[in-house]
Amino acid sequence: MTYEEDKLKSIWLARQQDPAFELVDENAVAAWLDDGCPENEAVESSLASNRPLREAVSAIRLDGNQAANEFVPEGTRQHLLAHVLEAFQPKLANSERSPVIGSIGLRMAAAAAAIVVAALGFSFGRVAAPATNQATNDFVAVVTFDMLTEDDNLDSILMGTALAIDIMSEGDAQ
Amino acid sequence: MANTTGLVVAAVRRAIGGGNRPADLELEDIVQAVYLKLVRNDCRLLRTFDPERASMSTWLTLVARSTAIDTLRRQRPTMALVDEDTPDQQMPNAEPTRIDLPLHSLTARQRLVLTLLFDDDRSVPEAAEILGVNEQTVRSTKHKALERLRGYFRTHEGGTEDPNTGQSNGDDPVTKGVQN
Repeated sequence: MTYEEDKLKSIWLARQQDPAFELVDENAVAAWLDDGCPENEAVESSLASNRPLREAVSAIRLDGNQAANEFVPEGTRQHLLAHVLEAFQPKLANSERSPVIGSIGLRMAAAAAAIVVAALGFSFGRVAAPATNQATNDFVAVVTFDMLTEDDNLDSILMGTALAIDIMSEGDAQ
Repeated sequence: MANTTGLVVAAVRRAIGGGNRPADLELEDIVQAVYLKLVRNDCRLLRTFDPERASMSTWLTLVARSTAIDTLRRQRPTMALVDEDTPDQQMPNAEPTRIDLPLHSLTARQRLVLTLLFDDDRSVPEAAEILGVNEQTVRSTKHKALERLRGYFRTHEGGTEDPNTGQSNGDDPVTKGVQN
């Protein structure tokens, strides 16, 4: 290495990286590798500016892409997606799930169920009970405020309640 | 049924094997990082795979290796800071001065050859193997690239060079460039 080349190397290593070069995707680089690395302006620019990608390509080329021999490709994106998801599934299942989040979910479900049961009970109760409630309320009003004086009205009210049975049985006894 | 796991594990193992692997960084962590990268953002990277352009094995090996290298690189600076008992005052804080080079005056292959040889410290035979060319082609490409850089500095900085020795005098713009 001449002195001049040594200095040029120092300058090269201190160069400003130019982000203006087009970056290509992994497909283009993989295709370039498959084709035996023909001259390709876009791919080689990307490799020059992307160190991880360049190191990966260097390793693949120097290793002879031996890792690829352990795999039998089926060629479609759907197959790859299926394989990846299959391989990834155990990791998803094993990934930690927060117990706090889990218990919050259970509590939310229990609370929602309780609200639904309460709402149903309220609705059915309102439908089934108005006559009884009305009669009871009228009786309470009579007893409390002595609103009614006619016996017929009082009897009709008492007939709608359980109290009527008691009063009738008392009358029979007398 | 073909399985990607063997390929990904093999690629990651090759990427991390033999080097100074951080103790807390397991093979499984990096393999998982590869799969995470593939399925992240609704499998965005995975959906970019085009079987009509590239073979699946090469594409997946490339993704696995670059992810492994990137993951290791992110870990290593932290490990180095922990391992090396370097006093704070010796740590370089200042950003090194960067030099604008006429990178567009070089071809992509010339830039890549200089990067492989100078940045990555690859030998000429290694660079030739990586690029799929013979060693003489690498030497020739490197020579042309350096000539272009010399020519640029002669033209734009006004330096002079002894034509017999090829060595520059004290006003050499190359030397100025290093000092700036």
